[in-house]
Amino acid sequence: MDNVWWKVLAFLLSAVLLFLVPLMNILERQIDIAYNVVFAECNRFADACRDTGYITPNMFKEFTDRINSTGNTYDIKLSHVHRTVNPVYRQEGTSLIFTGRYEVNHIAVDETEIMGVLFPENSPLSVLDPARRYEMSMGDLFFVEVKNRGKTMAAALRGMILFIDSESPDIFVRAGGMVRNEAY
Amino acid sequence: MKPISIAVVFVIIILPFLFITGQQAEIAKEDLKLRCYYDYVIDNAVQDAAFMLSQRAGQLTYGENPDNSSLKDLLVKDFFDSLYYAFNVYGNKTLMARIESYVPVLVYLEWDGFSLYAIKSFKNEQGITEVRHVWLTKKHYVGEVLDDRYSIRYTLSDHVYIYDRVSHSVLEGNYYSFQDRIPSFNDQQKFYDLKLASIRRSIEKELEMYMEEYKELAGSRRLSVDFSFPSVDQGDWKRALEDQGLLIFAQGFPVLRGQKYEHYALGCARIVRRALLVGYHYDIRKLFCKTSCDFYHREVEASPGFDAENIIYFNNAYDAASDGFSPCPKCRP
Repeated sequence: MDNVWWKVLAFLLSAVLLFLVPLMNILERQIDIAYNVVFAECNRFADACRDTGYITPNMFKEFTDRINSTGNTYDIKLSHVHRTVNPVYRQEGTSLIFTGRYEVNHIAVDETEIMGVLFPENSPLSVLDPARRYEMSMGDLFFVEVKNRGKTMAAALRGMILFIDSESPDIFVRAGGMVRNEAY
Repeated sequence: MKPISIAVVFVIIILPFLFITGQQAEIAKEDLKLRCYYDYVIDNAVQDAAFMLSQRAGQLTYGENPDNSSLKDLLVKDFFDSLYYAFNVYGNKTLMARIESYVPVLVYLEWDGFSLYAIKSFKNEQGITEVRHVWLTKKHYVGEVLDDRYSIRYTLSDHVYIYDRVSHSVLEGNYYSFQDRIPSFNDQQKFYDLKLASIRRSIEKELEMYMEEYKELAGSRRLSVDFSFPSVDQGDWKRALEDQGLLIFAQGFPVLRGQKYEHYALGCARIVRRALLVGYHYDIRKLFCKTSCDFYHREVEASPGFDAENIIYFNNAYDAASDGFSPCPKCRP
């Protein structure tokens, strides 16, 4: 009887050690590689947009092609914050008097608006048309956020082994900053 | 015991250790990633702010004494905006305040002085205590007293203000115009060393004083972040002190393990710094040299035929050569 339990235990352990552990390791390394690729590409794309001041459909397509080559699918979120500096005036009677202060206003432009310019529906315009270029001004803020959609294989397997269900994405990269040029 | 049993026992013993070391390695890796991310975000924000500063200040000249107060405010606004958006917390007051508390002090370096933008506790107009960043009074770059007579106020350029303790007069001008009075100004390198040391000491002194105040504030308010004196490389001081810019100290961003997060970052606006090369006419020859060239300052500028109207600044040797200027035989640019 003793012998049987030992054998069952040995079988389970060998299943874990010979199959799950190496598989887990391979998948995790894959995630690492994917993260590195996504990190580099996000920064490259964000920097390109910041240094030129615009996004073209080709730039965006190249970016998505590159990160999709890792084999995962991703949610990509672009955000553009337009900043304007306005002088603050005070009204005295009928005249306006400059108070000497400035106010920075933020106008956030969301994903759909940017995508609407890059990839307009039923439009005969070619991808190289300037009208399909999303332009930003110097001093604006531009960020790109990428996270993997659904669960990666590694996350699924880890959840199975450790009995956890994690909601946090395996790959999450946020890159960007201030737009430094208006090269259009 | 059969070999299989030995193997099973061995695996059972070793497995927890493997798991724990694996987890530790994973945490260390994530921690490093996090720290790198903070570095990246902070450096980026400082560069953004400095970039905007150089854009805005490009239209201004020092002689006109621009309204620096709004420029300063916009500068820190640019910096913090960039940080808020990088961490995706813009609009969330609590998280924004938390990020502000991780950057307790910013130093804004100007041509003739610097000011600290630091967290302070004060009573506002309604009598309510506020704890937030405010601008402290601008301080000058005051150096040590030379020859027991001259106290010197430096600027980021070669311009100096000298107070003569004997005749009680204030003199100002380029340092080399005082070479006959102050022997230390005879040597360009010596002047730069003195200037650098003075600027550095003035800033360090101010930071130390502020730190004492911050400790009291942090103690009474139980702010979780304690601020220790940042160590800045000599090389970075050199870089910092050549131009108008922003020096920030970030501390205490949450990390996973090990030492607390500490980082300083510097953004220079490249306003004061002149082009690297200067071209001039000397002895019917057209020469160009580094702006720091000793021969140029000593001989050329002092020569009777020197015409300041004729000098041209170049960004690189190619531009100078294509305009027909030959390299200076002394500094070999």
